[in-house]
Amino acid sequence: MKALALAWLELRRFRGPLRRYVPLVLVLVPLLYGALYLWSNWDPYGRLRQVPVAVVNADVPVDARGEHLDAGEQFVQQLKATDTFDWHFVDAGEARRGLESGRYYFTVEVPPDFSARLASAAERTPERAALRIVKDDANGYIVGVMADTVKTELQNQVNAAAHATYARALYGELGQAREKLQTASEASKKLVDGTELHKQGTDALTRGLGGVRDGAGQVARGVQTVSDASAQLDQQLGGITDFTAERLPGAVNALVDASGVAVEQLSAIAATTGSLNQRAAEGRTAVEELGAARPELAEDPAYQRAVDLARQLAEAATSADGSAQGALTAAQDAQQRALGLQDEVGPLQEQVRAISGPADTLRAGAAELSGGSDGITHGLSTLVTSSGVLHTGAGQLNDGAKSLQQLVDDTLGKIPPTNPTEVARAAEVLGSPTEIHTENVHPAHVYGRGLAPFFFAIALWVFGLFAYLLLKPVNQRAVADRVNAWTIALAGFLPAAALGVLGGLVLLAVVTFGLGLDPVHPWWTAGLVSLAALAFVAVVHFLRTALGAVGDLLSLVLLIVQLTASGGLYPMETTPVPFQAVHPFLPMSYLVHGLRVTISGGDVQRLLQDVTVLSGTLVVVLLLTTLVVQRQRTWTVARLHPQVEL
Amino acid sequence: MDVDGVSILARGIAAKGPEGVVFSNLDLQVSAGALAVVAGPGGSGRTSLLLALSGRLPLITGYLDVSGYVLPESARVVRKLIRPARVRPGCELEPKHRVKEAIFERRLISRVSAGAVEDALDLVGLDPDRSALVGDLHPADQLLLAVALTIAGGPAGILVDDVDVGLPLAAQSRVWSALHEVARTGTTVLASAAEAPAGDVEIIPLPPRERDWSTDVFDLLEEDAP
Repeated sequence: MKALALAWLELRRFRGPLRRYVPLVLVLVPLLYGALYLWSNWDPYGRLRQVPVAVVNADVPVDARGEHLDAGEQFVQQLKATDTFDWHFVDAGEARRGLESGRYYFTVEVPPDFSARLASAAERTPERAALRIVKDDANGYIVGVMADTVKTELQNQVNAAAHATYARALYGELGQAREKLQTASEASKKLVDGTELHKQGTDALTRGLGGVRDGAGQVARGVQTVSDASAQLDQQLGGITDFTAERLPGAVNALVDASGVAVEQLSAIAATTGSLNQRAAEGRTAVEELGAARPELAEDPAYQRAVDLARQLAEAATSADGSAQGALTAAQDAQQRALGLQDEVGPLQEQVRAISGPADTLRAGAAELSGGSDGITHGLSTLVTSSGVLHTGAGQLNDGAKSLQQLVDDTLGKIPPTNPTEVARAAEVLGSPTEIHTENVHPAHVYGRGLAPFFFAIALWVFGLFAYLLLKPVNQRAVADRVNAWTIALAGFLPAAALGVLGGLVLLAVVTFGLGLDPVHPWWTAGLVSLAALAFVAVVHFLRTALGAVGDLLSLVLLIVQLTASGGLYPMETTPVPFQAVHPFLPMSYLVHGLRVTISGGDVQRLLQDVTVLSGTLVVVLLLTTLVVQRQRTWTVARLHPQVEL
Repeated sequence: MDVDGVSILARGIAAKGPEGVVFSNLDLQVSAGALAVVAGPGGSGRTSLLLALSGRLPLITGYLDVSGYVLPESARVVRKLIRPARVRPGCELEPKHRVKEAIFERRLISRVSAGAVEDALDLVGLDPDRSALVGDLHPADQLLLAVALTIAGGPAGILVDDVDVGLPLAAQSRVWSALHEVARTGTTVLASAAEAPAGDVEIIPLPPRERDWSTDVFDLLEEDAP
């Protein structure tokens, strides 16, 4: 209570027309520092559309592959459709002058060969189409960084458009290829049918040729037989000729001679037999007359036998005579014929000689025919073999045609059928084949909201600095008297602390309701801001109490160190090692982190850790201040006459 | 309101600051209930001496005894016995406080009653407008207010720095006589002034400082001179 009263008395010092506003001004210090900055930079990336940027389209359209390509104009149209920046479409000279004079923050130039290079993409040696961005850091560095972000975006857009064009061309060609393949498929079907027929034909041909070959073989064999026969004929005709020419006349003559002899001898025989027959007949008559004459004899067996014998003899003699007569007749006839033959031998010889000439011709012809038919057979064999090969080939051809058809059909199946809508869609997908979906677990949404923790922290620290330039850290009258050190420390701390909490809450309220901070945990945020105000004021108070003006300087140094090492702007990992090393020892680090959690959301566990550290800092520093106050009951000459004074 | 004032005995005391020796080889004696005045120009180490005598500034050497309490061992007790009414710099009334606030503050830090404060004001012959700003009071009244507020707690001794600084002669004599009144109650009054007043005053001699040559040149120890 005493501390509160003393703190109140400390604030009562601010009276008078201007001085009375000191506490108010102090309360507004965090607001001035934090809110003004956050206001001015609340959403710079959302207001890029007000940044003037020159666009120069020097592109020359080209006609390639039957299409008119005016990529530069397309690009310009695309830019016009987006309001990323405040685009000014100007000529090159104006752009350069504008950039130099700072009227444009940077320029985007489409070079003359932009379309040509894009068109070359469908050719064998594609070239990269380039866009030129000219920045001027003299117009501000950050805008250059923003230009870099837009560079990527522009590149993506241009790439997407170019890819879409390629894809359309590609799909067009694919469609054509598909048509051709369809034709090829049909043709290959016909080819398969044709080769099927061909295979069957060659099969039949082979079989037919086999038959022909067999027939021809038979013919050849027949011809051979004919030839052989004609040769034999010829030979035999030769024999006959020889015979008729040389031996026949002799033979015939001999025949004639022999028949003459035969006739003579047979005549003699016939005469003999004739007489013999007569005698035999007389002998039988004699016997029979004896029998008739002597009937007793007729009964006699011997006689009978003699009669039979006589009869037989007579008959035999008759027969022999008949035969002899016949033989004689035959011999005579033969002689007659032999004589006739003898007469005919001459003409016969002529005729035989006449026959042997054609037979020779026949033999020669038959021999030639045989040779020829052998040739034919041989040729036919070769032909059959060849047609077998031909058949095999036809089979292979058919198989090949079938695989070809399969292949063509497969390929055809792999080429999607294309229609304009599908092509457009596919071209769009191919234009930007990947999409990155960014998810933010605890989005800050705008730059200002993201950086609010950092600027809140700075604002609160700066408040502490300001506060003890105007407030007295220690009531020396109380130090000289009987008040305990803790009360004095608290009494020196409380006025600034109260104003700091108030200032922090004003800042929070203004940023929340004025700029739309919209913290996820408003009460936690308010509490954390208050706690941080207390802790920061306590630190500055301690330094000021312990070291006077040097303490103020130290607070300023601490502020600067914390600006760099509290991780409020860039991730700590991007800072050099010393900053990372001091990071965990800086109260601002914990406020920045804690406010991130309460404003954007996040790990409450760590928020509690932040709260713990800040509370701990507050308590520890207040105790340290108490110790310092206790020690200050004794003065030093140095403190009486500070070497550095504000 | 009679008080047993402190008596002081010092032998060969010396104090040193960053710029060199402030005073040294100083012998002095102050009786209980006396008005003792350290006279000398600004920057001569008067304030340091007053603080040292009240146990608020460590000595580098010498013997100092306050009512039997030997310093520095008993500095804590001595600080309770001797309270500064005004030490420049270090302990002054807040000029932007109203008189009533100054009184309120004193009642807080010295735990004294309103009546004690009124008695003290009576003693020094002061009846300021309670709503007036301390800074608006006459410098002599400001000094007397500080003295009154300090003696309200009944200390055995008080420190009054720069008694005559910036005061016209008439006011000086008023202040001195008021301080005499305080001393008469038994309270030992240790004062510093450019010039010692006439009358019943114990003068504390302040020997010239044994300064280094260098501190002569770089002497920043200018005491608050008007």
